[in-house]
Amino acid sequence: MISATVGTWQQACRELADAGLRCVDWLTAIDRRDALEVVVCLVEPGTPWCELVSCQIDGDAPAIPSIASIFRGAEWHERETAEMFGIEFLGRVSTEPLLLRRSGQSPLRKSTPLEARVETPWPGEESESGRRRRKLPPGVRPEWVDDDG
Amino acid sequence: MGVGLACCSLEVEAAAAAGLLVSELPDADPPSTSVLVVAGTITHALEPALEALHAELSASGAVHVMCFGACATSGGPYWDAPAVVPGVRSFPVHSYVPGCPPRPEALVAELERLVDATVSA
Amino acid sequence: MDESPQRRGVIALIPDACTSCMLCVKECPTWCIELDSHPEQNEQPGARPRTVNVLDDFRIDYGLCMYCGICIEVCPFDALEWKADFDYPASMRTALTQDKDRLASWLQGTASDS
Repeated sequence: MISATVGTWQQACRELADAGLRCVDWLTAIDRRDALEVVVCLVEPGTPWCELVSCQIDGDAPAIPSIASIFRGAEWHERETAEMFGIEFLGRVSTEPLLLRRSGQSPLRKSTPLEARVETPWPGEESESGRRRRKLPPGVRPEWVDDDG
Repeated sequence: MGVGLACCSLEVEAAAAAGLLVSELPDADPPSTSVLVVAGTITHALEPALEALHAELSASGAVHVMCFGACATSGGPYWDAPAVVPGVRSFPVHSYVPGCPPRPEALVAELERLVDATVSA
Repeated sequence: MDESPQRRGVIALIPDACTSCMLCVKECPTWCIELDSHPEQNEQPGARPRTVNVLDDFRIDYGLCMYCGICIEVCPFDALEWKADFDYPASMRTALTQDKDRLASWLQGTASDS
């Protein structure tokens, strides 16, 4: 995996494109809690050759230059990643939401509660007799429940 | 009329490809009841299209709605997803076939029961 | 059509083997299992009274079940098992929830419609 910075992101991708990796296989982000990591997989179709490029960006105001001008196929992936993580892809014309009904949800960020699992009563919760240790359902983060009070 | 939304549609197609979905109706008249098989996950983005399809079918007669599989019934494993509608909710459902996915034979059995019920009515 | 007994058609319950430990309830990814139980004192002559859990009801909502089998794998007492029958539709959403008696009836093969 090649590590880039926000400043070198476009150049790193352009150099790989010039070297022969002409397509974006996928582009997505990973929520590392204190930062977001954007990762792109560049491939040359018809060959097993692929390279991963990653870039750490600020979690509070996530922004990274768009590579849609280098790879047309990056357009869709950047739209999806922007919607799911709230990342701004600089230099790209803002488009209407791709998959979600409303913008601003950022459902794949760990800080975004999965409301359905927070609000729906969990059958595995403490029984009436009180003899079982109360636990949160798997996948429900404590901070979601604390925030909701 | 199969509405293939996700993986369950593959089981519907398997039943069709095996020649199991062809049945002979006793009358020459065009059927007054149509069957809408909803097979797969319903998303908020797609729900209006499903409603429009149901409305169009309803305009020409009764519609028997079948939820095929867990997603159409309740949202299935994705019941909690923000983009997913937890089961058909825009119009009445007449039968639920459980499974994830149900076997093609389960679809055939339920359709045969429906045909028998319609014929005997 | 294959009649393999391992076919994942439906999940059957052996009520006598269930200790109400709730592991299946907690591990189910779709939260489709519900279990009701209450503690009772079990007194045997010559032994100290022990608290045991008595299973009141056990329900699986087959409208939510994704047939992953995690409940069967995680049960420490093998109280759940796969059965091959796959044909148990319902005309009402609530009728897809099968209670303890219905789940136990699958052990004999095809359950009666209830």
